[in-house]
Amino acid sequence: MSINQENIIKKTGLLTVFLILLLVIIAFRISYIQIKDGKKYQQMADDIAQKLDTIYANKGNVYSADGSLLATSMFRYEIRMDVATVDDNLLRDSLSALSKKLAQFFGETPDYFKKKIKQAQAEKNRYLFIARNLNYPDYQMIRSFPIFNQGANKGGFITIQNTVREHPFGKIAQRTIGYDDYRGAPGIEGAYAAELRGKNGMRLKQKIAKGQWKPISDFNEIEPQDGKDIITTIDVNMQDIVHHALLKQLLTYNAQHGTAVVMEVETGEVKAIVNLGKTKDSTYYEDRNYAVYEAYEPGSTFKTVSMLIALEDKVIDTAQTVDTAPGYWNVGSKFVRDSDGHNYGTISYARALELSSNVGFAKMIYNNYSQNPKKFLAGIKRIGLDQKLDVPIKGEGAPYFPEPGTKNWSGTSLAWMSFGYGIHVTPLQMLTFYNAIANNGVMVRPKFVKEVSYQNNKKNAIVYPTEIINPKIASDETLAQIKNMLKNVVKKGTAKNIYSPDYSLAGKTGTSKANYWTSNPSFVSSFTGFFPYENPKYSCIVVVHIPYQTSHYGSVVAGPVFQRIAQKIYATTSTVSKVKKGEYTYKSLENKYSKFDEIKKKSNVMPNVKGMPGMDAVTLLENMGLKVQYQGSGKVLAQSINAGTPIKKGNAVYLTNK
Amino acid sequence: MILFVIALLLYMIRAAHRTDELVMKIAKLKKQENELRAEYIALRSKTMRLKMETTVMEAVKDHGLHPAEKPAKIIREELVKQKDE
Repeated sequence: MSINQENIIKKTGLLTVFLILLLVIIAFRISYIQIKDGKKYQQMADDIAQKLDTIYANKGNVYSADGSLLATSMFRYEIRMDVATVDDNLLRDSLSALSKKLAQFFGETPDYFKKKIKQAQAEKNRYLFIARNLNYPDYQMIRSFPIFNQGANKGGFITIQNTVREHPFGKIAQRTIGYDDYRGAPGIEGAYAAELRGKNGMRLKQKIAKGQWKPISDFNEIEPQDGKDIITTIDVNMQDIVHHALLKQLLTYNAQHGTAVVMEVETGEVKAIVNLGKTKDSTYYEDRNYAVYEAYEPGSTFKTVSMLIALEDKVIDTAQTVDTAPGYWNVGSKFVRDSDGHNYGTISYARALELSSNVGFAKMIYNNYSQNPKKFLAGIKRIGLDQKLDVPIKGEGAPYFPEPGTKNWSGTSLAWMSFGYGIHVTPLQMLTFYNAIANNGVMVRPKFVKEVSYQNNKKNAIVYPTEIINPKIASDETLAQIKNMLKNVVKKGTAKNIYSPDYSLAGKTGTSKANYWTSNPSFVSSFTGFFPYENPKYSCIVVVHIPYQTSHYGSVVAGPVFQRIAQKIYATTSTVSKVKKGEYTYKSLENKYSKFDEIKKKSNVMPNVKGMPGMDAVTLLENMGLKVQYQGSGKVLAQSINAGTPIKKGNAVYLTNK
Repeated sequence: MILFVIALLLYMIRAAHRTDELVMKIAKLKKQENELRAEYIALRSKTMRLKMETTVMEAVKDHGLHPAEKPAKIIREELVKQKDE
């Protein structure tokens, strides 16, 4: 017994020692981990349950001048279906209904979807593709379809949201509005990418239930800065008009591409800018910003520049005559020809512009500047046409003018330059020049953006002022002469086909050849000008590149677009004329009226009309339904039915008047 | 004293849970906001396109309507008062 007891005590003692030892080891190990690796493990825990979360800055919007949204960020939805989740019974009962609805929505046959879903069911597909890039109303519609309306867990409805940049107007001004993503950064979106984007913020967050994260502190580690809104100068209505006017001409002439820009004369604000290029299937869309990037040979629209320089240098005056016969002129080894073999004979320089005579202009410039061609080039530089406009939109084409004395200069350069060949400008640069003529010589930079404003604080907007490139491109006298000639181009010159007595257009036609060294040569038909002539409000350029074919003249191809724009603006500018509306209160007149009304009320009793003017009495009685016969024309002296006698419609009554 | 500490502790736990609830609510509302925004933009694009002149022109073409060729003349009345007495 005692041995047994002793044995137990011994064993218990051993066990106790062992347990204590174990405790000590554990305590030691805990302290060791706590002290030595504590920080590391704390960090690991934090990493799992905490994160520095990015707070995305809201990207700014792009607006038109009238407040319409041109570009904004929004959700697009992709829908997939977890077919394996859907209950077999539900699928069996509702598959037909779902397929029918999907078929209606996507324009397929119900069988197509039925087959697709059944196959997915057999394959236990948990991620069957249904549709992508849906807008919210469409997404909502699909969500309400049978099976899908059971939600994610029962109906297997899977939604994936993507933030995309949306252009609510679709194709309208797409290239000018632009974008800023992996494809590049064209247009306004590209130019103002930094402003629009804003800066993302950071915030420390802790993991909580349902996959959500809650902020740990009350402040953000880095505050996000929302992107700013860009308010452009584009007028949506004008853009719409110009877009469709240009599109119509492009389709008519099977053009390769074309551009049209409308600018407000005084401010340089670009109200509409359309760029349309042809696709393989002969439709048109905004593929490139031709107005900004494409430097082309302007052809005859450049004659205005030559005229302006010659007038400013006082080497000619507009009444001076030039002999253009026989319709061509030999310069060096080449011939300058007037279009279609025309022989205009001896005409004034002013008329040479109106008729767009190449011979007239070649003679004018060559004869006056061939000794010192640099003087003519100095004229171009004085205006500023040799410089880029430095518009914010990326990719502006550089103007090109050959320099006398360099290898690019030849004996024919000057003569051909006078009517716009051998040089390059972009449509926007050409328009800026014509705009300056309309703007009393003040050359302003084309403006695409009116202001940049904070999303929720419109007061602190950065407003972009009108920038002046050249305060005076020519004297008032020269400008007045040029304007008058441009008016006559439309009134009795090459563009008389677009003349209208209702609104005064001024401008210049142009036709040149492009890519004539390639297998795909084209005519460039253009028209540049402004309206109304008296007090110019808008300037406009239309440039259309068409394949070689019969009608390629600027006036016929580009002119109508210009005219349509001008006509539209004319038709929407209403005139107000005031007329006087009297409010006369004459007591004497009122008394008479009240007596008349009083009698009229008692329509079943013969009134007393004695003493009333005859015509009044007739009107009164006839209105009561009586047949009136009368003698004389003055006041009523006698009536055949006595006053107070009941009457019926159709009764006859005789009146004797004075 | 102990009771007070316990009360404080309970309040702290409550507050922590409340925060979690708020975070969930914010997430839900945020989602709703985005959805409403998406709906707003989708509908606005539609109305903007509908009100464009060329759309309207196309829509009323069959009724023989087209935009005016000449500007509207607005006649405004001016009131003139006269009495005889």
